[in-house]
Formats: sequence, C-alpha cells, structure tokens
Amino acid sequence: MASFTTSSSATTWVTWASTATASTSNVWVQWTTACTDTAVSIGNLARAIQPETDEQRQTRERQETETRLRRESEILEREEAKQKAETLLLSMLDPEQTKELQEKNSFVLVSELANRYRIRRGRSMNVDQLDTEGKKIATLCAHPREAVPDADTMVAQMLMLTNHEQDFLRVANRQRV
Amino acid sequence: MSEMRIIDTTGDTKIIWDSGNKDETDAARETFNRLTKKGHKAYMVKKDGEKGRVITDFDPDAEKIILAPQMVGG
Repeated sequence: MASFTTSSSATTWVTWASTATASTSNVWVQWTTACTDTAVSIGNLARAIQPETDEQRQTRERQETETRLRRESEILEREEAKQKAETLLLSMLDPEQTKELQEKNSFVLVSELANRYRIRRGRSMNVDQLDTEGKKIATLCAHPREAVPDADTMVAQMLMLTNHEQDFLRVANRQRV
Repeated sequence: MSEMRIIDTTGDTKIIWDSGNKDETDAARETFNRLTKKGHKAYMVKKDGEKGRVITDFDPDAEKIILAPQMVGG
C-alpha cells in the first residue's frame, strides 16, 4: 500500500485519526482521489491485473502438475531408499539386536576393542558409548558424508565400530554425559 | 553369485557377479577400486549377516561386500 500513497494520504490519515468528523466513506473518497498520476488507485490496480488467457492457464496448470508429479516421485524414491536401507540393516543384526531395534529403535553392539555402544535410529548424535553396566558415558556423532537413509548410517556406524573403532572415535564428535 | 552393496542415497546399489565370469568380475573390481580410492570403506561379510571384516583389495570370491561412504564427524 505504501507505494500507492502520496503526501496527500498522510493528510488523509491525520484527518482519520484526529477528527471525529472523518467518516469512513469520507476518508475513502479522500484516499482514492488523493492519488496522483504517479500512483495507481486501488480501483485502477484491480483493472490493471489482467485475467490470464487460456494459454496462460494451461501453462500454469501443466507446470503445477509437473511439480506435483516430481514431488510425488521424490517421496516414493525416498521411501524405497528407506526400505532398502532397513533391509540391509536387519541383515546385519543378530536376533537379539533385531528384537531390540523393533522394540526400542536402537541396538547394542560389542566393538572391535570389546567396548559397548548403543546405536539409536538416526543420523547424528545417535551413538552412545556405554560403560560395563550399560550406562551411557558419552554420545558420539559420526555419519557418512553422503545423505544416506538413517538405517544405512547405522550400518556404516556398526561396521566401523566393529572393525576399526579407533578411526570412528577419532572422527566422531563427542559429547560427555 | 557374489554381491556388492554400495551404500548411497538410493539406499544401496547392488552389483552382482559370478566369479567364473571374467567380465562381471572385472566390472565389480573396477567399481570396488574406484570407490575405495574415493574413500569408501570395504567390508566383507557373510550373507547370513556375520559382522564382517575390513578388506582393502577386491576379493572375487567374497560372498558379500559392503562399501560404506567415508565417515565424517557430525
């Protein structure tokens, strides 16, 4: 609205705000008639917006459909990736870990150096370092450079902890409890 | 048949090869070498889900190889 106001509209506002004699219709008339050639009145603005042609409407509708289909395809691809990753993760777990994952969305593993870790479902800050009694002593964050599904991240974390734990600990950011 | 699972944004890409087929084996080896040079870590696992061990050289007789992208701190 600011682009359509002039110094006359400031006067209009003052009139509106300051006097009891300024009625809405008066102010409105003042507002619209106060506009100069350099600003377009609201009425002229409405007339200035051209209704879209059939061709424009068809183009817009086609673009909207393409956008919608692309988004649906992306959602489907993400879901398929998630399912594949889950299948791979489940193939790596023993029966106890599988049960734990289904019940608690996490599982515990014994690492290369005989330490215990809990991997929770997720991508970041999802690895807990445990003491001998199973109590969390730190949370670690290391994940694949690529944005892979969470279950894939958990596979990569598991493989690294069970095969080259020191490398994992060197790479991971650590948050003590 | 042997298989290699490459962890990526699609979940994983699966490559299978018959160790008796030279073309298939060479193609799998080429992929293995390309990705490990890029920083991927390779683990050889049994198909029944044994935990696996790190490998640095392609093994054409491996049951299953998993290639995981380089890990970074989060």
